[in-house]
Amino acid sequence: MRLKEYEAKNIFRKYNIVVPQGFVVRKESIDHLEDISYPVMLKAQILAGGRSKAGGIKLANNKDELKKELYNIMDKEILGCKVKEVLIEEKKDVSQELYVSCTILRKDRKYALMISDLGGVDIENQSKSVSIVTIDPLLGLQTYHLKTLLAPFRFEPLVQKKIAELLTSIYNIFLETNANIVEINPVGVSGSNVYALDAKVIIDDSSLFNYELSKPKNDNENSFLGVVHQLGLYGGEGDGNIAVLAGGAGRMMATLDLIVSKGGTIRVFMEFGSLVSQISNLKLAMRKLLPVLYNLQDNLQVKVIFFNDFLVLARCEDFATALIEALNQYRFTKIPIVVRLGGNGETRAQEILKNYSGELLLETNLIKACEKVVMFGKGDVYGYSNK
Amino acid sequence: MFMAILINKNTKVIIQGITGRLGTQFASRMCKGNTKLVGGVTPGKGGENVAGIPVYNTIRECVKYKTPDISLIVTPPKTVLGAALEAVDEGINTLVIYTDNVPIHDTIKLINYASNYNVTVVGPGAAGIVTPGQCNVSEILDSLIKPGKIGIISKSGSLCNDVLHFLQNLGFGESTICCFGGGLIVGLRIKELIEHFSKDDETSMIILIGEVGGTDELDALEVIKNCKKPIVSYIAGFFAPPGVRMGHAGAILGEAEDSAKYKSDILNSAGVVTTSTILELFSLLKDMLTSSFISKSI
Repeated sequence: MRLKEYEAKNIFRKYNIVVPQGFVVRKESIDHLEDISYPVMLKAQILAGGRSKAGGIKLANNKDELKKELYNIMDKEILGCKVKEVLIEEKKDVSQELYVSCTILRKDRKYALMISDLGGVDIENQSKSVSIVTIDPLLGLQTYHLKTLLAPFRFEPLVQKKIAELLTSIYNIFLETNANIVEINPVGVSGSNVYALDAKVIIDDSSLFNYELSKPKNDNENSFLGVVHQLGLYGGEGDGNIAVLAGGAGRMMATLDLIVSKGGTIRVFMEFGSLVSQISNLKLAMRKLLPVLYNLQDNLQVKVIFFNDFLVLARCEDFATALIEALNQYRFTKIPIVVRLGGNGETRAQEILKNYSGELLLETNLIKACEKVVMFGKGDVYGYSNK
Repeated sequence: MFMAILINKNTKVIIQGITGRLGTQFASRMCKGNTKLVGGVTPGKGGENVAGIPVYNTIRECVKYKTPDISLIVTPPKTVLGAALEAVDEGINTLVIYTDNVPIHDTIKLINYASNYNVTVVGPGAAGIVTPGQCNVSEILDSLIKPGKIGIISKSGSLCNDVLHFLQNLGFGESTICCFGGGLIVGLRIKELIEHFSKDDETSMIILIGEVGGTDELDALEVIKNCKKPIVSYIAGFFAPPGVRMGHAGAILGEAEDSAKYKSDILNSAGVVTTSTILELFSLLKDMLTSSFISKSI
């Protein structure tokens, strides 16, 4: 889960990283701004990189400019995200910009701490020094790591000390917030002062249990992805017309690949994760997902819904029961539902599904099921009859 | 070199978390099959038994009475680190971590620790490892597999099950199947698994099921080039939109080198027979396995 800039900066403050003075403005508070000294920076609080180039970061020299820019930017869509919050910050004049980060090296299975003097918006177009150390997670950050990292830069002693503290802080934040990455781009240096001008923190999704922040707030709660995320699951959206709900990440990807290769197009997709192992969780998931799918059908955005699972530990009859219970509540009359369900208890599950009085197509062969789904997506209803 | 990779008919298995819902399920399954389940560990439940298998409070107690080779860990995510470190300290050589969603920093710590003691870790988030007819430390149903000559390496358990289902209908069996998980960080990876299968006399061909995201498939390139056995691959996630987590934490398209197509192309140039959908994979396997040339040895 990626944190917004101001959320990340609130964490930074607790670790004694100096960030510019600032506050967050929402639409309703634009006309009640506190008195502040100018100039200030306006920064759209969206979860996307490259905000500056996309018009998500602006400068204001007085209150009128600030209000004008705020009205301009609020509710605007930038990089695919609607702006709901803007961070107002004092503008810092700096003489040097740096990049620092602490990340996981996936291949080496170690940590990497990194500093470079090519900070700013165009790091790819500059070529100065990049300094990286690999840290053994069982050993942790050592003093010599910092010496090695900073040696190429020849900072003033006081600045050097502050940057060493900054690096230590981001390493500690990385560990203590269970982050996948902590990144500051840029760090601003002005005289002997060192500021974090931006902040990027992504918390490991599997570590959110001990985190004070809730699950993603950017989602529209009634959207497909909003519901999927509320259930603690993963999925995505496209601009096609097929809905794929699969069990298992690999099976979901294989299903999507096959459907797309046959000319089908995807509207939404998700996978059930470990929800399938308990009928109560399955019932909850179906109850929440089907109304959203029903709306997508109503708006003519989805032409076919495909449930695809093969269960080895969980029970097919639980899956079927949960599905039918929800289907009895949300009757899909305009579009077909294709179900491929096999494995543990598949015979019993098929009996449950066959007793459903609505329109539902059972297909045990995975390939044939995908082909039928593609056919329905293309609007070809030949061969579609109940059961 | 013993028959099959990593596990065989003599492998003694324990389950950490045996008294839980999952642990009980695994235990009763193993007891019905050929797997030598010798014990289980759940702190505070020592002295009980699950499916007739004794439960111990600690691994040390368990090791004192039994001599396990491999531990299946099915404890809740937050407890996996402690469970795994304990198993390493007590000298267990191989860990299969079935539990998914283990906190990432716990995973990194336990994998580094295990590797320092030459302990093999499969997972976290691994469907597990199974040598049909001999030992099953996985979620894979015994009814879906039989002894054969095909080695299977897969990140995904679910997709592997679909492939096994297909092979079963075709009448072919497997030497060993290893589903090692789709997390951002996992222990045993494709490179080591190809090395194992290369040396295994029971394996005549390898099916490799990869995923979009990371460079795991490409890190194995040299080993793949040196492997004398035919390798057939499908890298799932050709469709994956950039930046979207495709279920597994590791299955996310960042750089161009992460894409299923790029990885497939590179594998292809290294001599792997690559496919871009399971339909292609199935058709290809059918052709290969039913052609008289290869099927003689499989």
